[in-house]
Amino acid sequence: MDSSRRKFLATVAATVTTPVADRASAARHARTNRDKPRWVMVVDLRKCIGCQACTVACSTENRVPVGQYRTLVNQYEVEQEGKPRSAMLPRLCNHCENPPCIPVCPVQATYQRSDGIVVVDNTRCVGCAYCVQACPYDARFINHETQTADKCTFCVHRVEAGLLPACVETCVGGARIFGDIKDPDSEVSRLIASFDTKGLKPELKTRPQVYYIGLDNRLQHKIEGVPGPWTKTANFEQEALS
Amino acid sequence: MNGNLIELISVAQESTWNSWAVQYFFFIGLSIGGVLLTTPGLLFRRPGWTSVTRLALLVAVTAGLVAPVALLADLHQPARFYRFYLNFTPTSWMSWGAFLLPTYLLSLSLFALQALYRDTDGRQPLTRAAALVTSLLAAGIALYTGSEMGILISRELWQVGWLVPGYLISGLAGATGLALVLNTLFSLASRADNRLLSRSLGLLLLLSALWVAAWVSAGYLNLSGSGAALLRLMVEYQPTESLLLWIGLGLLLPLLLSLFNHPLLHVMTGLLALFGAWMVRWAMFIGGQGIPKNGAGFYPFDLPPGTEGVLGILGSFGLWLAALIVIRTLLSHYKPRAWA
Repeated sequence: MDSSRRKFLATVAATVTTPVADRASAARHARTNRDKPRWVMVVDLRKCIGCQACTVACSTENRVPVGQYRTLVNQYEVEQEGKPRSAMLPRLCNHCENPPCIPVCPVQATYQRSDGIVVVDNTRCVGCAYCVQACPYDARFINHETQTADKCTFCVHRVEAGLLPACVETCVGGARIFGDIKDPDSEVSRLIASFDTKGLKPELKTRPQVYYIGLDNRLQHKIEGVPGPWTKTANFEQEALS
Repeated sequence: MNGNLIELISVAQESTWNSWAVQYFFFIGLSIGGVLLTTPGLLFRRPGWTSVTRLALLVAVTAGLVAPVALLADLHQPARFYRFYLNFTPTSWMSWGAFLLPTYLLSLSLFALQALYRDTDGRQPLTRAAALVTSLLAAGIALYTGSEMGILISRELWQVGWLVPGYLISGLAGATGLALVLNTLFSLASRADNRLLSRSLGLLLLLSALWVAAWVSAGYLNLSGSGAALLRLMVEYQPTESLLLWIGLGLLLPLLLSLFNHPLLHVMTGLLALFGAWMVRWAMFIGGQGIPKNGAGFYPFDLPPGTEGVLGILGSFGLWLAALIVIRTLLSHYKPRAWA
């Protein structure tokens, strides 16, 4: 088992079971509020190979309709020291600390949990798409099947069961790391402390909680360049999976 | 375009506010424009505005009847609209709008009953009061529709400071244009009314032109991010829709034609102004959503032929026409002096 996964499971186990018996360990963890984690993701772009395994795993795990994406790995060709290089940018909901999508929902269908995960109650959502418009990161969309707002949920159903989100679980390069930023010993906390991480569009003050290691400056905002050839998403007729 | 950065794998983001949203903004813009067009006659007591006031109110009511239908149609779960009324959300302009819209429509209905049926000469104080209240609510509608789009930080083009006056002026221009068309076509048309409407339309179109010029200039001078986005939309992304159709056919041509006083030209001017009011909203919505939040280039929009697209647009105009026929027939029957 990967070290980040082991550490993650240890975090979850300690959170949901009785407090750690070992005194030294308890003292070290006393500062953090172990009852309320704050889930974040670190994306190590040095390790992303653009295989899209995360895109597919997420799509399968969450029954996302074909042509729509809760997460996607954008790929760019950038110039570095006069040479063309591939740059990957996995995009997903940033579960912002200051989310612009939540205050605009007229029926309060979308909300942020105490652990930071932003979710949509799609039994209440009227599909007005105001939140879709409000998100600066193209994280949200109207699900063609449910006709309600949809987005990455950090696989909250898996996290509550003590598992990792599907994209993290499947990441071939180990580029996606998930954990509790409130725990100073978590892999995510260590990475954020050791590296100069960047979030997307910081000037918008959304305080995104997906931290990128090795993000090129040119990819941090709206991309200015030659557009990709995919100008339309194909709409495949698809039956419901159940 | 920076040739040194190429997007290899990307996906065009769908637009989620489509034809129906444009139709709602268009018809509600016409409705509030119609209401505000009653103020010279009823609130400011300007002479010669009596029959124009009635016509403006007719425009306001018929457009106001179509607007909520279009609004409901744009929801992806329209049967759940009652949720708006169970969950008032003060942080959401759309929530405010959900309460404001029926209030405005109720006020408008009562105003119409008063001014089109009970007091067609507009002399009673109650008529004046109804005009005032409905005008204030109409201003509220202008504020909420512009703010709904404009407060979003995600789209640079949509800015409250530009959208609110823009929707207001273009709505007024559209309503005046429609009143001009109706006045020319109705059997009771008077040339004096046509001249009045034509002059007013010219003035409103001039204001619209100044608004666009100011916005574009602010963008050109790098004073406004939304202006810069608008400039890009016009020059780089959608020159046909923005420059030819919206500015050319929808703004400058009717402005020019409004200077001439021929009935046939009046119809053309009015229709073009109406088209302009529609086109500005199309440019803001569809053009605005075509500008990527994160990607490069521009996302093209496919107008579907069915009820979500062309048929929907035509259908809403058909509904408006039906409302006009029904209401005018009733008015002709019960108030022949004013309407037959």
